Amino acid sequence: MKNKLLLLFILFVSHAYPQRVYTLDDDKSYTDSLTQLIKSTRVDSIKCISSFRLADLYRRGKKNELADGYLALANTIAPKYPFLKDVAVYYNSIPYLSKGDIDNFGKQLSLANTKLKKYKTKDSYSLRAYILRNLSIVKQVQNNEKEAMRILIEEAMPLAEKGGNYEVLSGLYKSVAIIFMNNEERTKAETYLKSAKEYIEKASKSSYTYKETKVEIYVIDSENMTHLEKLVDAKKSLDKAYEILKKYPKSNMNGGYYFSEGYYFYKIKQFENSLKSYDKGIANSMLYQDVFSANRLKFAKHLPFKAMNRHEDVKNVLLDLIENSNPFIVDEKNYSLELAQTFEKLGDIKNAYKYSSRYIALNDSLNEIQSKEKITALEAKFNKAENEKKISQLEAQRERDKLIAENNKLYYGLLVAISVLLLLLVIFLWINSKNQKKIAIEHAKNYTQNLTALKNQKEIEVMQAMIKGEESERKRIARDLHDGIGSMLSSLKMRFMKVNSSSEVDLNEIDNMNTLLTNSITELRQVSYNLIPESLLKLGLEHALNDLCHMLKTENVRIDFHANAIKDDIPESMQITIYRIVQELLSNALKHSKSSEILVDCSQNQSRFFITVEDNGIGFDTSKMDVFEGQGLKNLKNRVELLNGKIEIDSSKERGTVFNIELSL
Amino acid sequence: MTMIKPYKTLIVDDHPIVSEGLQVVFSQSKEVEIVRIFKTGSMLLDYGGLGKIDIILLDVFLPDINGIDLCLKIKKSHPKIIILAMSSQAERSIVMQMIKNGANGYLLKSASLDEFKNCINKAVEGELAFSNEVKGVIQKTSIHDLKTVPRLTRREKEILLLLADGKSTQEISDTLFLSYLTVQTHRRNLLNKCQARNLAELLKFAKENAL
Repeated sequence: MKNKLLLLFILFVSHAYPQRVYTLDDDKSYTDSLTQLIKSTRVDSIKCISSFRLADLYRRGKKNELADGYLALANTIAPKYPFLKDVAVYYNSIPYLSKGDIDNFGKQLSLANTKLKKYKTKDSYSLRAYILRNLSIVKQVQNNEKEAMRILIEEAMPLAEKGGNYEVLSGLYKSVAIIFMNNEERTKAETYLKSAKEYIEKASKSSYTYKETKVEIYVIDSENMTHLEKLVDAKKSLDKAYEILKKYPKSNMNGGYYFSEGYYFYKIKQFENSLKSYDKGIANSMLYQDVFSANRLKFAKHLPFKAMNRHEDVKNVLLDLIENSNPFIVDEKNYSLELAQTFEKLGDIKNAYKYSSRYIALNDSLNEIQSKEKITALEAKFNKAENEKKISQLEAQRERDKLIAENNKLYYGLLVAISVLLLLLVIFLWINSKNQKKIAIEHAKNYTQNLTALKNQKEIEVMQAMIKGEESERKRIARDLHDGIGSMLSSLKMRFMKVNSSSEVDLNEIDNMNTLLTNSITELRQVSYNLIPESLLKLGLEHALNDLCHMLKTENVRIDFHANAIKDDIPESMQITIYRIVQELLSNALKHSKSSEILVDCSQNQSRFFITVEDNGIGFDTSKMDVFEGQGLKNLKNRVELLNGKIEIDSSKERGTVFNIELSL
Repeated sequence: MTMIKPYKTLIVDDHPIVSEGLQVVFSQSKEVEIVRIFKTGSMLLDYGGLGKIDIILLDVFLPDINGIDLCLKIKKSHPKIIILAMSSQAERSIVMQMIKNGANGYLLKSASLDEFKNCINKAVEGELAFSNEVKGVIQKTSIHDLKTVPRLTRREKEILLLLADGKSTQEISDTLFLSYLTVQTHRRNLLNKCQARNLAELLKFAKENAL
């Protein structure tokens, strides 16, 4: 019962505050002075702040038109001064309150608080403390008592202390106390209210809200003390409030005061006084059409009636409330319960049952509402949990995606790295192969060069050998001519001279001379043939070779010659070379091999020419060929090699010697 | 032979010393009358009076036409003319070639007057006439010119053995480390030497002659 009263009271205080500012209606002098100041001053900043204050004041006095006018005036000046510009945010937030737009009011308050933070002045601190107190009220309205409390204690109070504004500070303590009272923490509320009382006593009395604040604190303190059964203290507070209020009997603060007084009288069991106080309060409230206050006072009346067992009056009060006041459900429920009890006491069972049922129904619906609210809250919570779950799922998903993405990144990176590696490898191999190719080409070139050099070397050797051979041949021819033909001709000449000088002709001598001459001619023929055989030039290689073999054969040595498919179109120089090779081989065989049979076989197949010379002689050591065979065989080899030919020598003591020579024409 | 002495004779030789020497030698002879001397073969071929000529002394080596070929041409147009080849060389193949082409004899230029006369007489009588030195060259041949079993080289014998084993040319070239062409040539030579038309004949011939 008492709790509900308190609840109503709190609701009243907190909710009603904007619409129903408690005032002693004693602002006239202050508003006048402010109006005067605004008119007279030339300092814009003073004009501005005064206009803001005046607008605030008018708004409290519900003179909204005047308030809007001064607010507009202040707003024209404010932008010129950074501090005032920020202060303006607060003053401009108040119209939101008038319209009942609590959310935007709170937002503007927060904004003003933030903007004013940069000014480290007492004015700024005080103003911010005041703003924060309002913000705290907004939080309370939004059912966030914890935040409201936090704002008051942690932010507003330190600022108020820094600002040195005790009135604001005491107001803050009062606000905290109200929150405690709201939560049935009466003892805690008492300590805060004590501080509030102390600060308000210290506060400057010049403030235009000083008296109101003071009255409010003492009224609330009284109510709290009464509730705590500290009736002496309660009486003191009541007296303090009355001290001020008695000068303002019409003030709307009287409603609150009479409630506390009535409650106090009720507690000290002066029921008639209590009822009187309540009635005065109701009268005051009705003066301002303050239905909430009036209903609260009316409901309060049922306690003293009840205490005096005036059940009929209780019934009347409650019926009046329940039928005419259009109460909140909570109130209606309480009214119903009281009515049921009252009818029971009056013996009106039917009505007792009716209101009892109504109470139960209201209670149920209230519970239902509560449970619905709870369900809604639960649902919200569940939804929140669900959402959180979803969020966490999403986050997990995101994490997973991120992980996958990172893995993919890693894979891609790896892939790229491998690709790059492969590319490098390929490039490396390519370059390597290119280099190898280059080297190979270089080698081939070198090889060719070496080969050419070797060939040149060989050619030079052959040339030298040929020159040497030519020289020795010339020497031989010269010797042959000189020793043979020359000597014979000389001898012939001497004989001629002898014949010439003697008168007689010696026939014998002429015969001798004839023989000499014939021998000379034969000798000459031999020399000529040795130089180059006529048959080679006239009849070709085959005939020449045949002649050669024929000529060289003796009774002891048989020479067989076979020619196979030798063509006549072999170049003459080639024919001579081949002839010379065979000649050399035959002469070697005849000179050294001591053989009895020699086989010469020559054949041609396309551009290849084959020479085979075999004997059945004593053979020779091919490995020592170069040493003892002298120039002849070496020249032969060189000659064959020069003609891109091959020479194959197979020699043994038992089987004689075989020369297989292959030439390309 | 209805030849009336002195025989009307032409000399074909590019060396004036030889031809003039011969002219001098024969000038006192009653058997040979030197009608004309030509220095080239073409001059002889252009000469119109070949029909009345009995003997031609033909140098084997002329500056324009080969005496061997010239001999064949004259013999074809005037088979009755006796041609005696002359050369300063006595090379067997040339002598044989000359005789093949219808020459009636072969003399060395260094031969004596008597030899010339003898040869001319022999030729007129229808014999082949050779001067002494040429005779020596010819005679040497007689033994081996007979057709005998061909002599095979050692390499040819190797190849023949492998052929008898049924080896192909390629296989033989692989075995003996010779080129394909070389083996092919040897194989061809073998067939030619043994006058065989195919491998079977060659192998038969080889077996018969115990090669």
